[in-house]
Amino acid sequence: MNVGLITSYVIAGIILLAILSMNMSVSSNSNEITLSQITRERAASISDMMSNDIQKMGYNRKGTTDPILTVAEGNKIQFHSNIDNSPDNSVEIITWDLTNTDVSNSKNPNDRVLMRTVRDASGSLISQTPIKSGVTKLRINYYDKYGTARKDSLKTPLTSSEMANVKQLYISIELQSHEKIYQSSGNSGRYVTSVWEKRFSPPNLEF
Amino acid sequence: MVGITEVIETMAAMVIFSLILLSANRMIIRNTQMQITGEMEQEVIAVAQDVIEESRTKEFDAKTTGALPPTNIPGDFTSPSALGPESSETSRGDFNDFDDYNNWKDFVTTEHGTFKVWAHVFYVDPVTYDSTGNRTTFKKIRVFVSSKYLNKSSDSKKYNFEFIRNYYAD
Repeated sequence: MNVGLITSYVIAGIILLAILSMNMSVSSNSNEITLSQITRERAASISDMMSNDIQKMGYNRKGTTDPILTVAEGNKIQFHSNIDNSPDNSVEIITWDLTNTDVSNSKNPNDRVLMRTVRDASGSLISQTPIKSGVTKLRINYYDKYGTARKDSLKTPLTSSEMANVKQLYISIELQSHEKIYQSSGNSGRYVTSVWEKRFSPPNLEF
Repeated sequence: MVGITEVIETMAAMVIFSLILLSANRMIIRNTQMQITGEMEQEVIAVAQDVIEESRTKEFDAKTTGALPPTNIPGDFTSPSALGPESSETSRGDFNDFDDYNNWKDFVTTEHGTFKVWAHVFYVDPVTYDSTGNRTTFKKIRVFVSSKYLNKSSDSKKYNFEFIRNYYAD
């Protein structure tokens, strides 16, 4: 029996296992980066749409709409705005709502459809945009004073009188990837998460 | 000496492999750091934008908060050395004009941790947009944000964002 040969086989085996483990780590890391990038891109798209709407809250060509906010809940907001800047000053009702509907093309059980709905003043539907980008949480905080600490938000849902006094909103959206990533063959994996959050000071809420 | 050659060869392979492993680990760590930095910087931008957007909703100057504008513009505006909150404005919620944010500082807590935020407001030259000691119809807010998770060597990296406001563009 050649001791040297056996030792070299054992060491070679250890090296092979280490190579395998390293390969899995690099592959998992690469997957995580890709999923993270995709999730962040999705968050950016939603934030663009939402920022565009929220900043125009209460806007009309002459003065502001009355009322501005009509629904102010933790995961639903509805407000009036002349969002298309129509010359006839017609006001649209915009709703952002995190529904309870699961995203059909996703393996992630936590994500739900984020719905953006635009209706005219009489309530007729103009457009409805279901966003299936992996939104798992939507949290909206409302403040009646500028610069209030985040935790000191008004208790939702807001009453009509509280809605009339809202000055700032803090919106936080959590997105998760459609697929899980696995660190090793034994673990149950996890979804890549990205959070987008922003405090808004819509100019028309100042008055 | 039978088999010793194989052991030496295997040891050499181990050394080479260790170097590759170290390099791969460095790559993974760098990627993770970049990923976290990207997410944090996104938050830094949001935090700075909050302050800038909020300041934009306020009057241009303490002297323009009344029903009528001052007679002499910009001569009647607040003196450059007096920019900042009035004595009655003790917190951010009390601010009623753009330059009240001068020398304001606070800690903002978000899902991504706590950020230190501070701001300076000053008059700028209408042509060069550089800081000036004279009253003009232009003011600039410079918002700084830092976080202990965004480091530059041993110090916190400081991000700064600027916004120029014109009295007539309000």
